Amino acid sequence: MAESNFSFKRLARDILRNRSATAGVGIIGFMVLAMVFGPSFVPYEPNDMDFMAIREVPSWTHPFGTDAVGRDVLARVLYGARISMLVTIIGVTLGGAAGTMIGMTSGFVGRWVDPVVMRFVDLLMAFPIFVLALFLMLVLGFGIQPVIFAIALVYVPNFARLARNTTLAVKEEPYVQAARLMGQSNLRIMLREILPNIAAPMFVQLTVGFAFGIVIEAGLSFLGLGVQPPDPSLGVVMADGKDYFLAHPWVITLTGLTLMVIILGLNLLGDGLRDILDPRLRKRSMA
Amino acid sequence: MLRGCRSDWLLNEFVVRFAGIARKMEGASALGFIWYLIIRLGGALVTIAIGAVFVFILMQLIPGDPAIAALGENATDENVAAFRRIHGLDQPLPVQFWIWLSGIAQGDFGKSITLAQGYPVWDLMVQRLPNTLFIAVYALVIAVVISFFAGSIAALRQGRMSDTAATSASILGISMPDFWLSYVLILVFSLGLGVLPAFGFTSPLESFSGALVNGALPAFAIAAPMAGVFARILRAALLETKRRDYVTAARSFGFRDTFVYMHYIFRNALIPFVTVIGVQVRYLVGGTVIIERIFGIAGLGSMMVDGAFGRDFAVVQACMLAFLVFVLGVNLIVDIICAFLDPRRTH
Amino acid sequence: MTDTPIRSDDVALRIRGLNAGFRMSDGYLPIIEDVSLEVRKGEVLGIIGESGSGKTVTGMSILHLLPENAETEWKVFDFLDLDVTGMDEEAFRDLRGNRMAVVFQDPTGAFNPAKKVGWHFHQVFERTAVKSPDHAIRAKDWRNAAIDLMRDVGIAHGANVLGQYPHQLSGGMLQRALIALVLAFEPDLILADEPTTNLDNIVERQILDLFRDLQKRLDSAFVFITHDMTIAATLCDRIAVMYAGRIVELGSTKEIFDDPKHPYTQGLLATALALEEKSGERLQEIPGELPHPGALPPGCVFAPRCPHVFGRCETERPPLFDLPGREVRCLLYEDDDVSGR
Repeated sequence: MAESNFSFKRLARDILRNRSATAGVGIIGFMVLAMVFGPSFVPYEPNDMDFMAIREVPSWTHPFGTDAVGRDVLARVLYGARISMLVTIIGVTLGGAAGTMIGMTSGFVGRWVDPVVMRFVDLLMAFPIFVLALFLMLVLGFGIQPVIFAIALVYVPNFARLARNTTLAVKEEPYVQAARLMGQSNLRIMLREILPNIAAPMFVQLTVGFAFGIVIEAGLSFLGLGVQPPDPSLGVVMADGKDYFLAHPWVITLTGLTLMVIILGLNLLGDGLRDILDPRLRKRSMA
Repeated sequence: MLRGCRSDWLLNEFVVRFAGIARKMEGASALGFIWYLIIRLGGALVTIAIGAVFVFILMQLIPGDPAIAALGENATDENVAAFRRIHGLDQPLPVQFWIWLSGIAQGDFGKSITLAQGYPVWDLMVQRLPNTLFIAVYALVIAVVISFFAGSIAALRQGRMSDTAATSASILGISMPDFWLSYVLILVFSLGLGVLPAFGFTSPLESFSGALVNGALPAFAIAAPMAGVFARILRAALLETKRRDYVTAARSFGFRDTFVYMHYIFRNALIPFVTVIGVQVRYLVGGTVIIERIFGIAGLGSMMVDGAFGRDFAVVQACMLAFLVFVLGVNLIVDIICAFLDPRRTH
Repeated sequence: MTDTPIRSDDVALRIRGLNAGFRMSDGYLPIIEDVSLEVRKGEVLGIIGESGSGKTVTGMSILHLLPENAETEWKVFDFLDLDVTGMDEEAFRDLRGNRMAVVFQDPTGAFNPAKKVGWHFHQVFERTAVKSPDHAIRAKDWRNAAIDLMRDVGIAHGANVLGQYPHQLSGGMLQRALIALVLAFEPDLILADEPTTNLDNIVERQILDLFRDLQKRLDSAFVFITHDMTIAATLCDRIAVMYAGRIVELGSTKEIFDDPKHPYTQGLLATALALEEKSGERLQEIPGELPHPGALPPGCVFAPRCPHVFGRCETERPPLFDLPGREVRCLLYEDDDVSGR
């Protein structure tokens, strides 16, 4: 039986020891707090327009300034970050789950299934990200749900490939052979033996996926294909600011900066996790 | 991770089988290499063919009648029928596919349905492809050059200030959304320093130097995140090859440090470095789509976006295929370079 | 050793009091301590020890080829007529190859996998070209020179080998090629770090014969690192036995085999002889294990395993005592020390 040596305490300790992961957790933690509690501290709603205060430069009353119709940008950014993160997390997780199942099954079953499935995965992977996303928009229309599916579709091949490769490695392990001999059904083996043991790199991939997934979401929303205004998402807020960017660059600059900090936090976290989960690479005995 | 050339290429099995034959010819390795090229090229063409089928099938999934999309909701039935006849939409699917495919072989991608009604898509593409291609290659070159230096410095001065600086810059670069960076660059270079133009783009076919100047900001915006990824991979690859036994052996022969670096360390780190370029193309092209919008570049990416908004299926179809070919083409080139660099041809 | 006057132009390498260790994340880890060696031209000095005894670190220290986090210090380090102590990195690099060279344990690790074997020969000959006008001429015609050298080491079809990549050749072939490369330098000192350990028996014997042949032909000094006493017996003129990073016995091969003084050497010989003579006889193993560099016993490092241990052994670190024709690091021989310590 595969023993999963996992304990939250150990994970926490490992994270604290790794600078990158700690920084990542710190940044993301702060961001999450800001997203959850921030709006309570900001006296404005994201869609409140105030035509007396349009295009204001950042000040104490409006730390991020206001946009062309007087909406407080900080409020919009906080709400927008929430929406962006949610969309991204759901999308990537969906794609990750689907991709993992596909890849794991393909790798485990093998024979003629594996090459065929992998060819499709490769083909999917050969499409540029936004081409896939745009195509899906055509099929599903514009809006939040299509964006979620678009992001999911983009990530299916990544996870499928990774899951399949790690499954191939784990497949030969003795406890898997033992389970087979005991006559357990394929599905059971996959879920109980293989999945826990390929989980670690999947989580790293998930974190990294979130980091770029949010860029995809923001990009699509920026183009007008994703979250539809006036609902804010980080991309929408930036799109709002682009028409008058030359005169009033604050909207785009500050929103994008927020986006960048989120991505940075996710990347650092992903890096740290990768380091933690592959400790053997770090230690090198010199004898 | 850092093994020989990873070729996640379609039709891998066939290639491996043929590569077995190629290996037998390895004594005359030049011939074996040419054989390998032929196999790869053949595989790529088959892949493109499959991809074309895939694209066509995908297009059929899109709901809505292109005729109505073009003519509007109030179009009369006769007009719709006429439209469908003109654009061959009343034929059965396999026939449509065959028409499309044979058309492509002759360079005819059909006519634009909504964007520029009746205008041959091929002509539209020919106008726009050079721009996109130029920006993409420009960005790639910038990314490779920057990452080459950043990665090398970080690996050579491992643990020291320059390493930390380079690595931090890499992570920052990776974390920047390229469309945001575009605006920051515009702010700094166009408005602030007034050095580079913000909008407008001259086709490289008209004025190459003009394209270089106009394309500098968009290319750099796309290049920065890619450079971050490349730099980290290069650094990791260099650190790994630095540890290898053959480096100690080279030093024992008394070769100079720069010589050892170039021929042993860097040379063997090139393979994973080049491989990752192939993997990143998928994201590179993504960058061009949005960047073209921001900088007002008349490229394939913005045409596809317009086509998506305008439900011009012919345009979208053609663009999808074009991008697919581009990515596959870059992957093919990367594979060839990898095969050239790696005498072991490890998969 | 010290009472025999040594003509200084006879000695290729003289090291006294060499210490080396690694800077780890949790402090400094000493690996070898107070290592003193001398090798004369045309002589083969064997360094014998189990794996982990510090023999490779010693070898690499001689060529200054330790990794970046290594620290070395010594009292005396003379190579030919040069005092290495003052030398900077660049000056020492110049010595490597042309004056001192290494034959590595794993030949596949010694070649650049991206380049053909011929490239290696070309670069090596280029490096030797500065030695003399004759060398420069030879460097121009390096292909033929390489083929000749390969014939000397037993590679019949050198021309083919030149065009091959390292991964296409067998271990034995690569080792011969590596030896040929080293010979191309005509170095004054050749260090061989367990060159036959990775090879199978037949090839091993061939390579050892090759070394024997080279020793007769060349004027170079050899330092031969091995864990195999029988190889040492047939190949080496003098032996240094290492244990836990220290030299515990040093002397001529014949005398050590006739009369091993240090208990560890005695144990090694007993094991080796048992292996060689009667395969039915039970191996006399030395009970216990090699201590970890970070956890050495307070007194003599061999005390925990020594059959002749007595009180002082566990608290005092014995120095290397000078006996006539022998150096031994064991308190049993304290009174036989002739150097007046």
